[in-house]
Amino acid sequence: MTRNQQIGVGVTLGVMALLGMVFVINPVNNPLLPPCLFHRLTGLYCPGCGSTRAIHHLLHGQWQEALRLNALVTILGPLLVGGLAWERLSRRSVRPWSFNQLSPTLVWALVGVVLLFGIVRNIPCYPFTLLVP
Amino acid sequence: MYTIIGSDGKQYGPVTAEQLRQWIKEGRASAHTQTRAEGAATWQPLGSIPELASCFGAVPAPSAPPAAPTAPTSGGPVRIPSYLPQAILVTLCCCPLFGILAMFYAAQVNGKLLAGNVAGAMESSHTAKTWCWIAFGFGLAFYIMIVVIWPLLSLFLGKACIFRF
Repeated sequence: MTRNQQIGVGVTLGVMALLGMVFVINPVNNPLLPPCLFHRLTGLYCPGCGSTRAIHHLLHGQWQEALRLNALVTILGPLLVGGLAWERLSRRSVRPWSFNQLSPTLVWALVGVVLLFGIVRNIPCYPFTLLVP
Repeated sequence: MYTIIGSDGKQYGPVTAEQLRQWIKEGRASAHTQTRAEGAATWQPLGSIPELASCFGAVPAPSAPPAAPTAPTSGGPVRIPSYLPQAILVTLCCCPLFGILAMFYAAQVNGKLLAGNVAGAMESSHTAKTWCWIAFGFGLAFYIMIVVIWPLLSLFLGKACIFRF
């Protein structure tokens, strides 16, 4: 096994271990899965606040609850992880795919969505309060 | 002495022209491989370097057969890891502050690559990678602090510990 493959296997096992931990433990009031430090210190919601609970519910198949807690992680998380896996697996295939093939516009749009999500969920009035985890 | 970008997007070299000829023979480099002569500022296709043009025979560089699977049909001849998914994931799960910096640099890679600025794309990719690791390291350090060190401290300090997570 080359060093590159070793890293790939290591990262995959690490991610699976983390997901397993989030699957088994309910993050609410559990000392092993602490709340977002950014929220603790500033009182604001960062784009990732609620993601541990969202992943916990998503792994249990409760996607509505996951969407309510953190829509961004629920939608983007599986897409990005799947994209990374696809990029790696298709490397030696006839038609390799990589994130380089995304257009710059789409890339900046993705970054914009993440930043906007972090801003919008802090607006303290009705439609935006739905995004509070 | 020359530095090349392999089909895996990594830099190899600097190596001698002799070594490069060997790589061309082995199919590890083709006329399209991005190459930089030592001291030069810009990258150019291997086929356009006079010293090495003889390796590709009489065939001019642009129509040279793709000897190695260097050039995928779409997405440009070189692949440079953009670290965009990693940057977004560390922003969401580890540390939003440094993650945003990582996203900012990661987002520049594809645009620079499309504009033909391979060296610039590599630089952005490298910076994005560094910020990804810093953000990940911060997240991990705070996690260990909150989950391991803080409970131990409060165990010894008892009521003296004001800030609780």
